Amino acid sequence: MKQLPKSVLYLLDCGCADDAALRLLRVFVGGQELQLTGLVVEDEDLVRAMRLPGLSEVSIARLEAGPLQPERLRKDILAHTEAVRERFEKAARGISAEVSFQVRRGPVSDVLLEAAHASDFVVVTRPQLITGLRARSASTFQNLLAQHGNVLFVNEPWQSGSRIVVLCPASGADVSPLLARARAIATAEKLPLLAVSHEGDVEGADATVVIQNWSEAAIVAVCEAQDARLLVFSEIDSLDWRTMATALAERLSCSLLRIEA
Amino acid sequence: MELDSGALRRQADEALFDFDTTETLTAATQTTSQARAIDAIEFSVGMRFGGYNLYALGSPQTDKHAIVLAHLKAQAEKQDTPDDWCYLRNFDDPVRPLSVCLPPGGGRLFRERMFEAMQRVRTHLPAALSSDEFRREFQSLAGDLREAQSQDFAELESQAREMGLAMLPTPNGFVFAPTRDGRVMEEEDFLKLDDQEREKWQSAINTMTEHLVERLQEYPRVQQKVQDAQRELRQRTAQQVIQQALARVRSRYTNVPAIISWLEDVAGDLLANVEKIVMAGAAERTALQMPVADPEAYFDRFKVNVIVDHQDDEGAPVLYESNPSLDNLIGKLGQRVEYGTPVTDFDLIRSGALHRANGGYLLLDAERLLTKPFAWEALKRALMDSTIRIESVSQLLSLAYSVSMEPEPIPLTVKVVLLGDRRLYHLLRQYDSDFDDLFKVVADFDDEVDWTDESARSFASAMAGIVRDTGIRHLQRGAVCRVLEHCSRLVENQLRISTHTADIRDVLLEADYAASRNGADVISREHVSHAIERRIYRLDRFRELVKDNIAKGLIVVDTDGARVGQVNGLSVVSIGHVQFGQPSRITATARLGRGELVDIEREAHLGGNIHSKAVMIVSSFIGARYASDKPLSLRASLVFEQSYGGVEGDSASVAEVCALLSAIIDHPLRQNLAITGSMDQHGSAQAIGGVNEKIEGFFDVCSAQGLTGQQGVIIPASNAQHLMLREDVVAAASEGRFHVYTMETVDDAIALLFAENAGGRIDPDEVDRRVRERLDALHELAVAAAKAGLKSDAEEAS
Repeated sequence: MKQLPKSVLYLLDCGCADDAALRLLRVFVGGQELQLTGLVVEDEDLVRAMRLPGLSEVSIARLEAGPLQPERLRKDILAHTEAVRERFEKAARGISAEVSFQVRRGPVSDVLLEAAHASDFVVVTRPQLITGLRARSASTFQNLLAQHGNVLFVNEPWQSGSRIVVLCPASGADVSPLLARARAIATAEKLPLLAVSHEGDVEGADATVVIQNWSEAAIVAVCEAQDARLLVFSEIDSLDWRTMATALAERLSCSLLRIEA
Repeated sequence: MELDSGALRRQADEALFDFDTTETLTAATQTTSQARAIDAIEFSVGMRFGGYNLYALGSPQTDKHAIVLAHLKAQAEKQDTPDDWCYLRNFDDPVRPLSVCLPPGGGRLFRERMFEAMQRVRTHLPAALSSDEFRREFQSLAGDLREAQSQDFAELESQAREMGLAMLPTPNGFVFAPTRDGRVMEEEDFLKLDDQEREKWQSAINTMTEHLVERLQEYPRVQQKVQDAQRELRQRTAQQVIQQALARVRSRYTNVPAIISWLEDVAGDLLANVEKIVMAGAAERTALQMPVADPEAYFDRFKVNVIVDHQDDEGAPVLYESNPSLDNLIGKLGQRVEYGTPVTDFDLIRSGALHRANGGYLLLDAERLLTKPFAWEALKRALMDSTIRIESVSQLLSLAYSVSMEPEPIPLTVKVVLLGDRRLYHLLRQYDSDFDDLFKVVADFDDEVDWTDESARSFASAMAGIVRDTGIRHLQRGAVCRVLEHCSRLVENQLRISTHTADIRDVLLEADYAASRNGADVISREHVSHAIERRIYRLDRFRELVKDNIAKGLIVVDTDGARVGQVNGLSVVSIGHVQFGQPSRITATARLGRGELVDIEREAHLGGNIHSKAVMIVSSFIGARYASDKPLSLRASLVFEQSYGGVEGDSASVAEVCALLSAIIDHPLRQNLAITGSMDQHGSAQAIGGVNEKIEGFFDVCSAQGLTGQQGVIIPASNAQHLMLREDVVAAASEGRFHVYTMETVDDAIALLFAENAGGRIDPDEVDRRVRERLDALHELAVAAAKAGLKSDAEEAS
């Protein structure tokens, strides 16, 4: 990421805005002017389903199925969207940004990808928990993490973890912007910065963990062992980062920040 | 009989002392003079049974406090130091805190050990629960479930896809819908389907719905299991930390079952409050956490409240409580305000004097104790029950009160010493039926002791003690003698000396001041005399005023010549600390009557009962001596001239007799003599008080008007031993310028007082003869008057 982000998209489709994520965003952009857009997608497939006769809705809270009631569901969707909007706007007051909120209808993946490509930076939270279950499969968002250049994938709980971990596949000038951003976050969070490298100590980090080969298992092991709160990384040419990013989002409980090289 | 000047004052013998100054003396309290009291103290201390507490009886001026304290301290040093006492939270019933005793110094140690243990819990427990190891284990328990759920949902989505269905999330759950070309079917396309196809879709939807519900219904049980496992892991981890933290404390108190049992309760409470401990240990709390009122306060319950700490003490405690209020005596339940409401807790329990003196001795001022509400009752109860119960006033009064606790009582073994005067002692005995049972021993402190060589030496040591305690200059031998003489004067007895140490201390301090003004290194006899004189001078304004009035003739006192029916009596005036002698003219008149002796002071309601009694004795004496065989046809009156403040006492009896006899026989009395003395009905002179002040009072007036060498004072012979006159009076007497006479009977006074005729001094027999003649003449007049029908004044009046 050569330039600081000017337009940030916050995908709110499956969760509320996270204060910690916005705090981190503030660190990230410094005092620069910013356009922050909250986006909720109305799933067109669900809209279609509401018109079909004889469908049932399985309630997670009640653990039973009942006839799908389109009117009630429509109201629930509106109420949910309104709650998300309020929370987003309240959380966004803390940063200096031109804030807007959008509701778009369409196929979720298509709409999300289209909106994401029009933004410099994407923030996405994991699908929210309803009585212990995730209300939506995270695959769409994991895909987004894999495809988009600059993504903050907020895992929960944000507060857990005691280190900021940054992956440094190369040394010197190539990683210095990445390291600088990771250092800024670590300072703001008052946590030590741990670099992961396969070439020895990384200057600018509080400590370095050397791994022999870049693999999903090795990175997961380091993050878990070091009690990571946030994993910061850029694309590594030698690896299939799309697959790996998706897998990391699936397996790690810490948050992920992908920054375009 | 005239007294030799040597008899007017006892001089202390410097040769008795073999020191130059008190510096070489061993300092001591004035104990030898209080042998009886000391014997009582030793008896009380030695008796180990209940009720043998001590009442130290005597004037506040005696040094009984210091004497008792010195004896108790000497005894206490030989005794073992008693245990420390602590209060602990009672986890089963917090309103009844537990009491625990530990060897001396053990209380503070226990408190420190518990504090360290709690510090370990406070830091180690949150650390253990946020450690990598714990977090991994904890998350892995939840992670398994999450992974299982993800797998389930992936399978369900896959199954649905294979059946041509989309699994769509809603705000409440999921919906399965038929698809075509990867998108949910449009309504119109669905409606075009024939019944068979629609049933096929419906069947697929129902199947998937049932699968999903089945899976979902399993989750709560699994989730509960995970939560149970997580809780168990948390408890297990916490228990390990807590047991480790308490192990060191536990190992130190294996022989104190109460503490071992309490530590079990501590561990239980910590385990039940792991959340609070974690919050107390957390550096910061997130907004999502429940607000908790000061999590740090949670650890207050594990404090050790050491209410009695003998770590720095040796021997048994000896304590004087100068303010024996209820709280100061039995301790109190402190309070703090939480959310506007007063609350109390075991760590707010404060010890009282009984706690701190437990196992030793407690000195209390009886009068102060009795003036403090509920304090006396609380002390009695503690002594009777041999326990200390900390109770508030509201509890003693059985009043409902919002703040209340009942700390476990503490066994009491204490010897209480009450310091009080005689009046209080007798009042307590009379009105408090428990008093004799609780205070069986009385130490009676003498206000004065015999002036012997031994007591004089002891007295000198006591003065050395005062010098040591106050840091003043040492006294020369002569100064000690002067103070000794002053103490004899205080009790008005050549054979006794005062034991009022407080007075002596004051004189020494003031003499030290005089020495400092003179730049002297030691206190001399002159410094002591000067201090005593200046003390009198500071208080002497009123006496000077009286002297001035006499000098100016406003108060008439004749110190020369002779007057009929007038004699110089002597009285003592007391105003505050000031006490001085003042001559008063006593006059008498006599005329025909029927035996009435009118006491004008009494008639004017200015005479006291004792004075009235004395006048009646005078009347009886005259009647019996001069009119035993016929009616007393006399009406006489007596008065203290220029007296406006009331007259009391019988010391003017002899003077009144002389004035009356002078009036009856119309013979003048010498005005250069003053007389004081009471008498019985037979005319024997009896001792009176204030003899020194009275003599000095007349001497001062005579000095002011000019000493003629004829002036003097007549006193009862039995008062001779009380003479400790000022040195200037003694000097005048030794030079023949002033005289002090003693009388055994009224006749001795008559012989001295009646002025000489042309033929010389008249003797008492001559006076008696002339009185009888005069009374006979009056009787005859009375008889004649009766025959003529005349009435006496009294009869006229009635």
